[in-house]
Amino acid sequence: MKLRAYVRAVAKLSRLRSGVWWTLPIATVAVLLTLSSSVLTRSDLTPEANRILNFGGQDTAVYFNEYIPTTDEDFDLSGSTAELRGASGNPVCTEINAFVQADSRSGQTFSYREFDDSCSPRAWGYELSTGRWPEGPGEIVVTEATGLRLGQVVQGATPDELRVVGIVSNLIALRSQVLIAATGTWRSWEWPNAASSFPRLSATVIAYTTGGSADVVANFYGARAQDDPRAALIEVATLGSSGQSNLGRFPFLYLWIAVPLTMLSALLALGLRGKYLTSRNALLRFQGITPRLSATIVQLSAFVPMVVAAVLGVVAGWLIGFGITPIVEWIAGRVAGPVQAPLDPVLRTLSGVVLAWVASFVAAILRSSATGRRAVADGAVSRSTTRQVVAIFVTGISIFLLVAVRDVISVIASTMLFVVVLSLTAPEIVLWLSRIFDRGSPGNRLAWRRVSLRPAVAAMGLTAAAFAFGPVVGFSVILSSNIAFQNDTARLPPSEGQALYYLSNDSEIDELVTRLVASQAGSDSSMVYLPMLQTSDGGGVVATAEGFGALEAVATVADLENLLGAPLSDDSVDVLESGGVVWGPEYEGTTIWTYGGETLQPLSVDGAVTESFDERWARSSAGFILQSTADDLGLDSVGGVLVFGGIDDAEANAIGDALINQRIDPSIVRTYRAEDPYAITPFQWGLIGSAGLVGIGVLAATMRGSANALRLQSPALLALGASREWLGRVYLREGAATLSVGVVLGCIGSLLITAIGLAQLGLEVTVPFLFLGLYVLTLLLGLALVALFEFSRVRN
Amino acid sequence: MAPANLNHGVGISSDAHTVIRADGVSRVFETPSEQIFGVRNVSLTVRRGEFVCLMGPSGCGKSTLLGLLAGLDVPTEGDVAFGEKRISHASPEERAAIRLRDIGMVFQEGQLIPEFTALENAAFPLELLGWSKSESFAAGSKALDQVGLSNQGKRFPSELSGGQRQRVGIARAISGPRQAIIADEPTGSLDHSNSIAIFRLFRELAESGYAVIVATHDLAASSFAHRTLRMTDGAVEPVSVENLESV
Repeated sequence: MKLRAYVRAVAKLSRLRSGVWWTLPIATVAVLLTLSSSVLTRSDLTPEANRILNFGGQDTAVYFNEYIPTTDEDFDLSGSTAELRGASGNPVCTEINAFVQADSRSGQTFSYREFDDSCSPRAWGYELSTGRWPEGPGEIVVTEATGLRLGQVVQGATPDELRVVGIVSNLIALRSQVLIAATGTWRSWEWPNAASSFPRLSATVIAYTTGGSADVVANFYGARAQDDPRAALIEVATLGSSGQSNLGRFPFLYLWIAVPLTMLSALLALGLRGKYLTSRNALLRFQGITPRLSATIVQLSAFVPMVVAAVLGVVAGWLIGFGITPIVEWIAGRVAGPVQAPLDPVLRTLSGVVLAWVASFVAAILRSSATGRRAVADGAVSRSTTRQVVAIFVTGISIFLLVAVRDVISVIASTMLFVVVLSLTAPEIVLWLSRIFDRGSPGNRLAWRRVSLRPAVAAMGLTAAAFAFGPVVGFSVILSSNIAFQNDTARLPPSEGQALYYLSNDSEIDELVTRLVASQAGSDSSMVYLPMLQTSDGGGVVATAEGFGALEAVATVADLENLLGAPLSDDSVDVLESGGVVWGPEYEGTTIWTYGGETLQPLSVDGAVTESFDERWARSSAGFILQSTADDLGLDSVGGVLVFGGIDDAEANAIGDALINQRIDPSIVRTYRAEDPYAITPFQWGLIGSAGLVGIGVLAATMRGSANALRLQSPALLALGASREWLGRVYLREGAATLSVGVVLGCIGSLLITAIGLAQLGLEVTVPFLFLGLYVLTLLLGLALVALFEFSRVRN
Repeated sequence: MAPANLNHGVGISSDAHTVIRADGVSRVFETPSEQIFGVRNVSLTVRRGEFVCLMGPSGCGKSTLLGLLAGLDVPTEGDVAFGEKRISHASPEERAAIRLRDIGMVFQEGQLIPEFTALENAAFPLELLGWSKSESFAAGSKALDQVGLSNQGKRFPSELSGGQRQRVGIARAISGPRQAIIADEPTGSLDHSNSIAIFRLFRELAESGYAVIVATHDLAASSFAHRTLRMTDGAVEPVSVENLESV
């Protein structure tokens, strides 16, 4: 009977008296986890689709990852396939697989596949839609996604032109851009001349067979390893070992984000309900129930709604997964597999909830004896030593990751931990800030006091705001810094297009390319030769005794001025012409250093001057000397790069066409624009969008909670003569206070951590203001809509 | 039925001392099945310097009537005027402005703003009126002094006893140049001695010039009031001291 009474008490207390809003964070996280899991899982191939797309209906694929410009002359393909045939006991068919750049201007890259006579492309899921299958060398069929038309001739991608004789489709890979060439096409090209004209054209050979058990693979490896030192390059994939789920591919996403995120949401929910639970605990104790039993009843009553919210969130996310099939298929570019049962999200979401609840339950039991009337009364922020110790501990991990582990993942992880620290210290932060800001008008005072006197709500809002904005700031800054770094390494002068040609070992090709590019470049363009300086024994030349700073040589002063895009000072000209060196801003002195042996050797030049040339050049080149000076110092000029400056878009296109006409790979001349777009992949968009959605979801829940609490106060305030507008303004101020603190701390903290992390990686911070501006604006607009809705509720 | 005339020897029409006037006021609540009379055809004036006590059983309409007199609600019939201003026809914003400027409201348990100190609570209406912070706080401090809490200004409501909270509520009602105090069950959660102290305070405030109207169950109130009215089923009638036990 007693037990029944206790169960009834738990059930009664579980009712969501204060509304469902405090469980919304858990439900939101559960929906997003399930959805992302469902989307990622469904973008995987089903086993049958995997067998068709990656194995051509067989079960073993051997990748000869030695990039070969041609076939049997350099690589014993027939011998290798014979070994494989011997190992599997089944026929083997082979594919030449390469990437070709079909259009150097757009950078569009197609997959080139050429199967031998024993394979049919149909086995890989390709079906002919129009035209016919290729019959002779130079004929290809293409997938619809390439955008190529029947009869079209593809020039510049391969040594000989390719003619489209058919269009194929592949239901498993709807958006794949593939050219399937007739058997013998690759061998029909003039090797090795083709390798000089298309230096990046190389292929991997894949052999397919059936019988891919572990023994077969081991036998095959064994056979290869005995007599071929290149066996280490070979990879064997079997149907059983491939097709790993995205859950497996991105374990960090689930292990390091899913469970902690759910746990954080659950802890926040418990914190938000803290006062209600504490008061009920006290009431039960007043009835004569022991402290531990009352704590158990109250904690169980908190657990039930959280589990219900988590399960409902998972179910909602799972159902939504069915509805977004077309989007998944569009993103993945293939027909999605069946919707998976959401067991993984259920387990991970519930484990987060359970972990948070256990922590709360233990804490409640430990402090149950201290519960009394004091806890029922209103109070200011309670200082939690445990919370502060955990905050210090997490801060330590964050700093360790940032300083000791130097990679991008650590920077992102450090940013996430920073948000956790913010969450843990939020009560103190808002209390401290409220002492500064709770002055002025009564509305301002009331808004800030409401924030500071409800620390759990403030912590939730502040964390959500920091989470929605902070990691995205860090992530986008890392991406844009990386793009800027790549731009810099191209040594591209500002606001100018550029073409670079790295000289090959084939003087005939070098001469032809140089002539072609020069003929297509405009009259206002320039060509500067930057050789690679070497000592007679093959050592390099650097600016400092520590081995840093590349030294470049130019033929004339005018070349250097063309390169830098600005005239040199008279001093610099004099120093250069008298056999000296012009240093960039960070270098000085008349000594340069050669290396090659164990120690660096000094070389003296006749004079030195420091010039403040553009930082892009300053970063890649420590200084410049004239070619004549290099000769006097006994330095050799080997290879190097031809830099064509002042190339506009039309000239870049003309250079590409000219190379194609001469049957030379147009991509061997790299053209750059002054500005590269800041691009984010769909996966990155998914992560960013998820962070934003979780943040908005939690913030919306917080704002609703604030609105509800203010509405409870509103009758008395209205009776005193406060207007409804005034009440609404208090609500907006309260939301703005939490949001602004979270956004400011989240953004500044993330920027700071990212800047330190990037500095550790040797990258300069570049902030993508336009992207961040748009992201922040979108999020704020979403929040503004929520705020306006709640504002009208408060006002009415 | 003729309206109950409770004008203490003067006509319905107001004179220079009339602060609150209700004229044939009714408030009907519509439900799907019936009409409920919260207030039924009440006429009443409360003059400056007068302490009027409104008594009656729970659910008789006391709070509804006070709400109408304070402009929190509007009558379905009749007029309510505050001074010369007919508040029953005013917009919600105009009624809020009148309450803020002229009427001090006192509730059961004070209904203080928990985020504000006692002094901030007392000064709150004046700050809303646009007074400067120093002026508001000076007036609030004076009001706290009047209710005997001059040393408690920095305390938050959670740090005050029930009686002290109620006094802060009264201080809030009398801070600034208010003309009337409307109190709804101001001693509902207080013990007898605290209740007596509160009623005595209302009497003193009335004698200092406020028009005070208090709804209460507490019989002790009538011994301090100038007039005691009995409310039954939404209607109001005067009651003599001898008949108090029947209220």
